[in-house]
Amino acid sequence: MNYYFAVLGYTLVFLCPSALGYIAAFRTKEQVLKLDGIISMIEHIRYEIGERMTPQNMIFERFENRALSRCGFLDILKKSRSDGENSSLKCALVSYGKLFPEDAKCEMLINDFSLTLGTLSRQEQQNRCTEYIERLRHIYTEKSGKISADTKLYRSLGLLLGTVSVLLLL
Amino acid sequence: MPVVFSTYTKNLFVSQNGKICKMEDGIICSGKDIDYTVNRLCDGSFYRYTDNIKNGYIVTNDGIRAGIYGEAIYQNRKLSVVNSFCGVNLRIPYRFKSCADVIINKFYSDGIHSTLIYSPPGVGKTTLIRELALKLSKKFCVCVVDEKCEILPCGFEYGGGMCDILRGYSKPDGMEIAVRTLSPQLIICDEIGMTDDIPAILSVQNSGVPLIATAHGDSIKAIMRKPNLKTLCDNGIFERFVRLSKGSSGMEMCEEIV
Repeated sequence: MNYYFAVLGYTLVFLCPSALGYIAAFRTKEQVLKLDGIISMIEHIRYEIGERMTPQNMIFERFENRALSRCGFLDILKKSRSDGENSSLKCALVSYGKLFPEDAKCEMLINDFSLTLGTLSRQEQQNRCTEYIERLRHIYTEKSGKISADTKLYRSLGLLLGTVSVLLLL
Repeated sequence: MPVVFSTYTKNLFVSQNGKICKMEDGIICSGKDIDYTVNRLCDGSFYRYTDNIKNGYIVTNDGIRAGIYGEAIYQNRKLSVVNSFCGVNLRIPYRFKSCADVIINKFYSDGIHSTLIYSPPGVGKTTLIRELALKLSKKFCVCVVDEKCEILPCGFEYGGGMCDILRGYSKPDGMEIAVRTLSPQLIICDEIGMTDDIPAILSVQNSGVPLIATAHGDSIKAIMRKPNLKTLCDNGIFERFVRLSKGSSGMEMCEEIV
């Protein structure tokens, strides 16, 4: 009986740091996925404006993205409406808070983009979307390379810490 | 820019507390107020209305026509964009149900005739053809080519009969589609006179469908001085010419002979 308890204990000791490592890796990856979601969102806006001339308040009705849905931003985005002074995207950003608290540059770019939504002609609006997609994609490429290494590091550290803890207990 | 409410006969100014006042005491709109109004009229989607704004107006879903002006920017001699809005003129449509009775009894008792209704702006041409469309559609298949979506707009309460409404179509496209596919017995459209309208109107007339149209002008001489309208008149397109004017008791109409 004691033997089984010991195995269970060692397993838990191993799993806890490993799980923490995986969680840290997932959170780090989630930032990139959110950024990818924002890029998809702007691509969607460009399509809706260019091809369908969809009114701003209905522009996100057909938009789906897992990362933005997981963090709760998509729900707010779909419900938000332009108040006459601010676009629906700006209103959603105000109600949600900071989408990228750890990255001021991304946050600023999205805020800048949200200020222009609905205020330009179709061609200008499409050009603006393309410009911001390129700028955000540049950040995404930079981040994804770095984050890929970070996530591997967190996972390995978690596993290593778990193994070391078990070995020390033995 | 002061806030002005224009009725059929006079202009009214409103004070901050909502009472009629002198112009000097009236509410003044700032540029920011006008930008806000235009943004609300566009439903926060300026890109949808760029072309309309270039043409000087937006029509809301309720059929309210907002004339909009500001600073025009030209590129290659073409109007590229209008921004820095300076003013908005909201025109609210309404029903004046009996206004068409006189014209129907007087001019159409023996059948429909192609008619040009003309007057200076703001006298009631659109109101009159709205009622004509609704009343005549109870006897005839009427096609309304509503380029500016203000004759019979979406969401506007009306009880029409056999009335096909082509909203947002240009007059040449709308008339061609109407004649080809909708078998109309009468076509109604507003504010003719552009160069593109003329071939379409000549074509419609040659297909045997009568046309009721409106134009700006205070006399038949003024109408004849406009080259496009003169072409139509010279080709015998219109059998009747009706002049509208503001009378002491409201809209007055009389027939003019060419």
